[in-house]
Amino acid sequence: MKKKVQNNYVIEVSNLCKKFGAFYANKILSFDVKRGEIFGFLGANGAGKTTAMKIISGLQSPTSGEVNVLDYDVYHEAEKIKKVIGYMSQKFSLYEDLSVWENLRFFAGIYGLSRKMIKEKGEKILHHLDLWEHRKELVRDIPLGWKQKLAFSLATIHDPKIVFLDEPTGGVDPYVRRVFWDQIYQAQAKGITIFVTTHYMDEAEYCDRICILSQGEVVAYGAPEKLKKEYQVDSIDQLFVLLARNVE
Amino acid sequence: MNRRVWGLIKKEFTHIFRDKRTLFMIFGIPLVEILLFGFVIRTDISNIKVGVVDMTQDQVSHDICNKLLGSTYFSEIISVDKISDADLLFRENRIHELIIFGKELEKETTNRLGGEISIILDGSNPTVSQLILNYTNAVISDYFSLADYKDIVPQYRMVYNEELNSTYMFVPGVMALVLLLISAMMTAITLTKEKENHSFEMLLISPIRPLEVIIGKVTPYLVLSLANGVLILFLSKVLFGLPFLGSNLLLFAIILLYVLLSLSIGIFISVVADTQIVAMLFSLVVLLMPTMLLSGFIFPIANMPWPLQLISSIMPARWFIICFKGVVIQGLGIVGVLKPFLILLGMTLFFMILSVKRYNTHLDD
Repeated sequence: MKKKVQNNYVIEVSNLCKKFGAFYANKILSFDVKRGEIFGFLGANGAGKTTAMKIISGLQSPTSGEVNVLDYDVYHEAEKIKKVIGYMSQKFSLYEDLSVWENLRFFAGIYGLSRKMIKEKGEKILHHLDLWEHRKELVRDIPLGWKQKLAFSLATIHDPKIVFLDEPTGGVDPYVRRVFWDQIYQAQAKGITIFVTTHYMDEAEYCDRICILSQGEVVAYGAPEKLKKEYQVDSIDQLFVLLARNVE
Repeated sequence: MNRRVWGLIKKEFTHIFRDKRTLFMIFGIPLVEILLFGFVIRTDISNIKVGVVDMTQDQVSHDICNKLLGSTYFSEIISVDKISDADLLFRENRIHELIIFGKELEKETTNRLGGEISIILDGSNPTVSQLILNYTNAVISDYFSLADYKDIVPQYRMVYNEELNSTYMFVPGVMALVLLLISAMMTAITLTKEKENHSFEMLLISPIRPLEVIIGKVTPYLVLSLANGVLILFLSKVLFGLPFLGSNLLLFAIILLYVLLSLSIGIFISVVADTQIVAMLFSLVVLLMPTMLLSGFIFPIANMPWPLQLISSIMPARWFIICFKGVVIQGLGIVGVLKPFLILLGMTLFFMILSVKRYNTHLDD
């Protein structure tokens, strides 16, 4: 029987394992994400971050283990999960050959917003981002910072409960990153849980809690301050180097 | 229609109409091909100039000359006094053919044709000369078949193509090629483009289902391919007088089936290829080249060595061309083209099932 009690955790992962042939992308991962927090998911390339994120967002099924997202089971209820999450990746943000408004209309459309809602919400968002005047310009012609802001707003246009950010600030200058994090905080203030992967260790410090992966396993998990004390380091950057060295 | 799919379709059309190169590919290529094949790479010849040495000066030779001029292929009759004069005329390209009417033709023809009409052709261009000979023979035999010389009627007759008009025979081939190009290649490219941009992940993480993504992405190409088919048919009718002897509904069904087949091949390619460039090369080398060479469009299948004939039989275009010619030029019904039609249908189902299967496993790695 499913409990109807409000669960304090929006993502619960226990003993997650994903195998590709003989290779383990994820070996017995366990962690939880609390409602309304900013959760940092860190790890070197190939540590299994992307695979775990794909599984949690319902894109792939795990080999074994339990994964629940908002009390939905990823094995059987992936379609329900997809309706309540948002996703944004550094690899792709928006269609360059479409205008600002066309991108907005498209992404709102695939999340099932009605035409009237798209118009109302779209106008509100573009005014808020100061992009209303530029709505007819092609995305390829607007500055990277604007694209970033717009992409994030579109990832949350359907008011998701959780938003997944896959290295959202890769290749972006420090100022744009700063502005982008302000946006993340705004979303958090609205009650959205943020699940973010990043390469930048200073960004890890902005998170409420973090989880560091190495070779498909969790090597550190908790609030940044707590972890720093525990390992007696000054920054997450140092912690990361320390853990990476242990592996070698 | 589902709102999400509709959004995808609208987006795909925007991509196409915004990119002028894509737009040119879609509407320019059929136009260029049909005009090229229709007017430049003609397999028949017009403006033939004929030299005539007429020793009889009777009604028969006179009538035949008029008949030659009356056909669309012969433009000029030049009277030549002596056979020996023809040499210079040939060298200066003023005539392509010399017809000699022997003495007392009118009397002779009541008995036999042989020997009394001789034709001399320029052997340095055998292909063209062969064609000219065929035209001339056709005109002459046509004359004798109408006139009252029952005994000497030579049996020349072109079935389905009495006018000796071969220009429209290339239409099915061009159509097969163009539809394959747009449906298969463009679909493969547009799907791999989403993969390359990582926007595919974005779509798959959204509530939209994989099948809806495919339908949304592919529908615009279905619409454009059908529009293209209509454009080609229209041009063929207006410019080359393509006869529409069979049922138009059946023709539409055949074109639709072929487009669906090409689309499923395109989807299959997009599953195999990871980048746009690979998808394009794959389409060009594996699809278009063999289609052009082996479908019977340019080279007759009967003349191919058996391994090539075997490969030819797995070319969708081959069966499309047979269906098309059967319905449009020969006026056959569904029964007449049942075999090629069923082959096309089988191929379509095969590729649809294969791509859906591959697509689902593909998403999981």
